[in-house]
Amino acid sequence: MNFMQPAMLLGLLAAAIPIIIHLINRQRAQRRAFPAMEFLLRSQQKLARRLRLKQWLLLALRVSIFVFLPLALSLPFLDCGGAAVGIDGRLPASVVLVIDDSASMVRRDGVDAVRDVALRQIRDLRTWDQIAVVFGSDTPRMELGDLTDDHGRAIEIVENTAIYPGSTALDRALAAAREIQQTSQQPVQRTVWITDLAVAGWGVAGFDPSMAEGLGTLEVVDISDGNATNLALTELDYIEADDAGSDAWRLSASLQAWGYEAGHAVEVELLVDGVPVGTAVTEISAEGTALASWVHTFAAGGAHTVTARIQDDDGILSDNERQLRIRLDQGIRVLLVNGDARAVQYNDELFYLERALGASFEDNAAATVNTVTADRFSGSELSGVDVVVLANVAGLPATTVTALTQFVEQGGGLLLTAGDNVDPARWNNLFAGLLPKPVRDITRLSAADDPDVAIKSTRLAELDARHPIFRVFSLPGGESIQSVMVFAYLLLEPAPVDGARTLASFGDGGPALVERRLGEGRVLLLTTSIDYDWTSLPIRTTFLPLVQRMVEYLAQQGGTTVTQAAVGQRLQLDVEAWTPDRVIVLPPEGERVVLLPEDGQVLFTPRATGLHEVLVGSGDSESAVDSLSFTANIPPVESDPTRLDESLLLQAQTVAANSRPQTETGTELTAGQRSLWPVLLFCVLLVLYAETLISVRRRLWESFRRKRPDLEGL
Amino acid sequence: MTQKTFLDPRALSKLGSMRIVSRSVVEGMITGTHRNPNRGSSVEFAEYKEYRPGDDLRHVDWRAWGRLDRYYVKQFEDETNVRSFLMVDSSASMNFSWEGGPSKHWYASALAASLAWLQLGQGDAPGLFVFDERPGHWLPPSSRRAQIDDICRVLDATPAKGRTSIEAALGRIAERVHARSMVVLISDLLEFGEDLLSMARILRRRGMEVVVFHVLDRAEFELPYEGLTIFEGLEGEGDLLVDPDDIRTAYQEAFLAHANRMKQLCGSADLEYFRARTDKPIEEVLLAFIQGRRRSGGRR
Repeated sequence: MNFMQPAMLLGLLAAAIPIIIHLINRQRAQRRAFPAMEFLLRSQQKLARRLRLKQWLLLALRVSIFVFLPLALSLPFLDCGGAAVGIDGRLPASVVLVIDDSASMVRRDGVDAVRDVALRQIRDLRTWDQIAVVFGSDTPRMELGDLTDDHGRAIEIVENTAIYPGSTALDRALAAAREIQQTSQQPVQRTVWITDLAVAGWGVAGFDPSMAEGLGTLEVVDISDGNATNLALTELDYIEADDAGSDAWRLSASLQAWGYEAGHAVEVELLVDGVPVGTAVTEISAEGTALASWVHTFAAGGAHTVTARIQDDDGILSDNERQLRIRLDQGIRVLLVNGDARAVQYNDELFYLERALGASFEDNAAATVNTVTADRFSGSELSGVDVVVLANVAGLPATTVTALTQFVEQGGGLLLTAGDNVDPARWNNLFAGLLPKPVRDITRLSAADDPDVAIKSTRLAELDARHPIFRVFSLPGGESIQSVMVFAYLLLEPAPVDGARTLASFGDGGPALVERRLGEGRVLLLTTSIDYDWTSLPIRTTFLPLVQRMVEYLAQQGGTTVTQAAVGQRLQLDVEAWTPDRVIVLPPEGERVVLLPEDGQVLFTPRATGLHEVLVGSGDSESAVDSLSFTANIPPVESDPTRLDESLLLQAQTVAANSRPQTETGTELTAGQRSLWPVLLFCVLLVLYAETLISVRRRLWESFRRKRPDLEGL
Repeated sequence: MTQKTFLDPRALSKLGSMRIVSRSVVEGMITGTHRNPNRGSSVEFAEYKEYRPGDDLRHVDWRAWGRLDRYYVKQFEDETNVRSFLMVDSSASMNFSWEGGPSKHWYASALAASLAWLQLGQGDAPGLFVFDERPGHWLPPSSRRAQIDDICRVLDATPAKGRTSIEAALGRIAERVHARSMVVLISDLLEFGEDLLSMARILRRRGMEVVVFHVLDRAEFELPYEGLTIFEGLEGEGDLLVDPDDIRTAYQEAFLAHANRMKQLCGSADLEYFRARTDKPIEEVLLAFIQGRRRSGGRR
């Protein structure tokens, strides 16, 4: 016999109390002189045996109370070594089902295996047991977060369980289970954890057995049956296949294997827009990776959904397919109008800008840049152009300005940058319909080569951090934009202009970047130069992201586009370019999700795999935006079937058993242990009852037992 | 008929002197008369007695001599003074009282003194014999007025102590009392048995009238104690540690059987038997005694 509270055994010393009381009572017995001693002695002798028996019985009962009670409080139990079907098994229990419903739980039997196990657990409950259900996906769902006697409700929830194709956050699920168990009023707490024991479910920190604290008896139901093999598609990517023609794209699928034999051949099928277009066979090494690739030429431009698929029936099934959204014509077409072309490259007005725009944008697509000198710019080049940059242009023909104005009004973007060629009066006259604000003068603070340039120059001081252009500079490291020195800039008229707003200002208060909306298009005026003449901006790290975002903004394309995402990953979709009232996301299954933009952005977390179409809506109209649509796949980490160390699991069960919430009875044992305290407490009750019957009620008993002598005649 | 109110023994015991107590008891009662069972010079023939030297020759029945050739002396019933011997048990067991009530010894003394008052009041001659295991004070019967003072003085001065020996006391009475007399035994009868009964029968055969007052205390037959108790015998019977609850019923049965047996034995030996409970007024006992004697005609 073992004891969970051995310190309580000290209470056995109390067994001496009845004996001491008995001895004290003998000492404190009243002495009385009595004449008829002969009759007393005769009566006592007659009853001696019975009285002695009763006194010993009473003493034994009283001693046994003080023996049984400390024994019961010390929570004794027998280690039977078998399944726990002891008294605890008959006591009312609160059972919390923690169901790992992450993507890795999709095995050969699908979700049915999980459902079957969970339903069996519920149906095994007695009517007086209470249940709660917690799902262990990355956002723990407590659809039955309070303990209830309504087992039917629990069955209904489990039967409607769908596997969440995302990651797990089992630590949070166990914490939720612990909170539920803390509310339990039942004498026995039991937590049933239905899982595949994948180590990936515990994130970087890993599994800590102390997480099982307060869960009561922890039972683990492993639905993987110890299977740790898996073959997974972990990545799907695309790049332009330069060597195969301008319209060809190289598509590649990464594979990873766990527990397979070396040289295992894998057939990977490729589908474009749901149509099979090819198959690749690759060999994969044990515990290794492999790559399958195809070169594909799309029949048409626009957006396409690419799917890679493998056959793997042994391991996790949900990672046998990945999808990718490809947008073929998303590059921004930019026309640069050079107002100060030079023979020496690095002196050219566009030297820095051309290189910044030539670099890949965030969505891997570089802008398409064409350059024309100002004297050759006629306006006819505007066809098929998204953004025009007038860099230090002194002037343009009126017809060209008119064409440029129409271009902007029809949705084009125009960036005006300053320089030595700018004459404020002429600009005000020529670009009156385009300029966000009239130019008053040129402020020259210093020369670029002035030794005191650091003191004389000004810097960018105030930025509209919520604007799509500057939002990125709110991130860590973005403050470097304030180190940009400006030696000269255009001083603008302070009078407000309709549709114009200042997005950035210099330290001395002068506007640095001003925006104006014109028709469907936008105009940005950078009051300093785009080369090194008036500012150190081009040689700063902030130059590239700044000009790329200005161009994207003018082209009315999202600053951040997503082509594929992981389920459960929080996505930030830039919709500023469409200025919508609402954004609608259409998941592959289920209801559409309507989001309201804030600061030109919406946040969305995909909860299903497959293509998510995105629509923008203003008023009554809604239109699909290919560039915002994306595909979602299961997180690659869910493909890792490596199992949790068994010893850690045993530790967790020990922690759970040792730290069970102490209830009024405070007795719950792990499997194979049979508690004895209820029996002992029952014995105490019996003994108390017997003692009461024998001692306190003996006179009543005597009156029933025999007729009392009639003393009235005396 | 208004019910007569008697004096509470508990209150009476506070009066102190036995003379005052007994007088208070007797004065409140109707003085009863009883026929004197002694034979004297009356015209009413009672019985014959064989002649012995010293007998009055006038009472020799010559007709009987003629028939039987033996001398018999006639005896006549007479309203003469009765000689009574009041035997008061003063053993230690009589010293028992419960919850401030009068002790059995006091009650027996008061009863004896009251009887003496009654007897003196009607010209009888009460005597007193106080005994424990040994014979104690002896006051010969006398009808003089000062006799009551002597009796009360002896009763006041005699403590209850020692063991009981009723047999020895009755033997002493048998030795010293020759004439027909009334013997009144006032005792708790805890020692009374068959041996004593035979002695009482001897007294009866000698023409003595024996009256027994069985003095009882309520606690004696109810055993009303609670909790573990050490009972100590008053006459050296030893100690007994017991919970009274455990033996109460058995004890009551035994005591009741004893009391009933006393009554039955006295009846079988032609002794008058009266119970005297110390919680009952003495007058009640006296009235029962007087009424009993009236019913029996004053002799047996």
